Amino acid sequence: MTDAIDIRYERAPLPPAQSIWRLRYEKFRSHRVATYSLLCLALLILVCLSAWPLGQMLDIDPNKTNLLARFRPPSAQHWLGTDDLGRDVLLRLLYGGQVSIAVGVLATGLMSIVGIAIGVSAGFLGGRVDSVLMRITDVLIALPLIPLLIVLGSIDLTKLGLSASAANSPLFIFLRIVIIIALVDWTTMARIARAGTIQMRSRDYVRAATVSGAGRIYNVFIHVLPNISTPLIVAATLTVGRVILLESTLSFLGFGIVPPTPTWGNMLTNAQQLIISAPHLAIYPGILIFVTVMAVNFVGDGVRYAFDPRAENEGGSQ
Amino acid sequence: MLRYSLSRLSQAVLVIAIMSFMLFAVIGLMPGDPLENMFEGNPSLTPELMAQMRELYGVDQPITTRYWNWLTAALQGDLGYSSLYFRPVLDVLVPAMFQTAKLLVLTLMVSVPLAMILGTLASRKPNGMIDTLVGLFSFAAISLPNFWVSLLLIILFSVKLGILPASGSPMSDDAGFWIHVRHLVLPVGVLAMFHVGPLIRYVRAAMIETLSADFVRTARAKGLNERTVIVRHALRNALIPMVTVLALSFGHLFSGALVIETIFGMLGMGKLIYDAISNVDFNLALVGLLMATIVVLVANLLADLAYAVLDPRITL
Repeated sequence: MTDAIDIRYERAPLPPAQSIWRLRYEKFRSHRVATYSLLCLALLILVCLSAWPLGQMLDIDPNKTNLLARFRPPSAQHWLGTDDLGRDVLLRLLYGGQVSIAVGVLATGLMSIVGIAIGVSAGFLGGRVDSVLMRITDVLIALPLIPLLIVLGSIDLTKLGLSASAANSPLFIFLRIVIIIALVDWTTMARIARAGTIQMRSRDYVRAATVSGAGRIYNVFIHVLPNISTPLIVAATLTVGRVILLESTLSFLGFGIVPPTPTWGNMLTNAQQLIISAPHLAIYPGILIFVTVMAVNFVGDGVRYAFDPRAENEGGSQ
Repeated sequence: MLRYSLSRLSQAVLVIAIMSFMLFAVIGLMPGDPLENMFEGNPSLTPELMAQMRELYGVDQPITTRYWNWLTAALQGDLGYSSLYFRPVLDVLVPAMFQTAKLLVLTLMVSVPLAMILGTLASRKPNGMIDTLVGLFSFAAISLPNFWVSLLLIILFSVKLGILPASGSPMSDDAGFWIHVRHLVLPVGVLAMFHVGPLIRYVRAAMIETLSADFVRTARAKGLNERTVIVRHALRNALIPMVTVLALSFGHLFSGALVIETIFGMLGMGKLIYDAISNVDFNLALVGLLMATIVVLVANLLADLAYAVLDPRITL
């Protein structure tokens, strides 16, 4: 009975500090399909970016037609053969990939800006502004996008005061498709931004800031936007795939990006006529669209899983 | 209910009026003007005569005037002639609407039951094997470009195997029932695949939520067999909001129909709109797009009303 019971409290060691981004990264990594998809996408982008050096190496111009060398089988110079106009299929696929992915990313960026601006205005200002903006959103969300995009894609830009040479330059055609997709497809972003803003608007710290004299603009940029960014990032990632599909559909129909600039969509435009003579030409661009969109969607799913705290109980597969 | 319906209806009319003006303005920006085709075919027209004709038809007027003229004529039933078909626009569009309606109804008859079955199967064991497979299928269906799938199926079934026709409608109108069916298999199949992806995910999510509800536990507790619990208790409740989801997907479905009709050469609304815009047929493009808009908006309106009827908790 000599020893008194020695009770020593030891402080439990604190877990090492982890930033939210670190946690998200780990969680994303645990979503295996998404991780592989991201790798696959990175690889695809790298390969597409190698189009120019590859063209130099093999001495090919992707837009040069040669009617004497149509439908050539794969060879040392033309690794995937040539198409109906004698152009190299592989190089056109790679350049087309650059265009398709660039449209996907740029249009998503632009539509995010439009959608967030509209959604945050509606949510923050409320009242009549909100109801008008949301009515427009409701209507636009219900409308069929492809017919609208076709009309917008057929607009003659010279009627809007552009010079004919500028209107038909590849850069303007590229920008036009980015802009028209952003113009009709911002609705999802706007709804998410609005819902988040309405939640934020009545938070105490926003009210406190308002009472201390903070203006609306300050509040939106300092308090609202950073706090609603998570669902927006998730939605944006999932949008990229949809945009790539929209662009390829439009280009396939002849209202998106027009030849000679290749895209995966317009490489399929002639495929229907060539189904009997050269069915293989219909295979490659479609596979690339499918793989890219699928990978982007899986990455989006992984981002959703990593960013959304509620996704924990549900598991990662959906 | 009546008050709500009337206010929604008046809103829809307002929206359609605004849309008609916007479409009018955008379609006016298509290359050329309605008289240009006429001039091209007639080299003897002098610039003075052309200017006179422009004045005669009011093409040189400001857009508000032209819209007003078009609207007053349209409301009196004169929607103009199609420069592509040399017939009144309505004579071209009405048969096309039936064609598209046929395609869409058949597609819904495939995609909705398929989504219900697959979504329910997946929801029973979240993250189980069936769920993973169904999830993969719906992901693939969302990610596949529908025009490419159509091309592949045509290559496979029409060119290589030669068992299905590559066009969506038979050459002659008096073809038998089974010939019609054979022509519709591929278009309806692709369109259903295009439509079913998001629906499956919706049914699955709704079913997972419903299966954890108290009334489902009660149904199980009183000894009902699993089938009755799922079909009669859970699924029926999970499906009520599906009316809205379906209505919202209608525009998406119409987009798909445009692509499918174009590829399979079916003379429906989508292909007409596509042809009209490709060939700068101003009247046909305008009225076609407007009709598509009206159909989609009316479908949404009806869905909202149906929702209130189906779910007695909602009072309007």
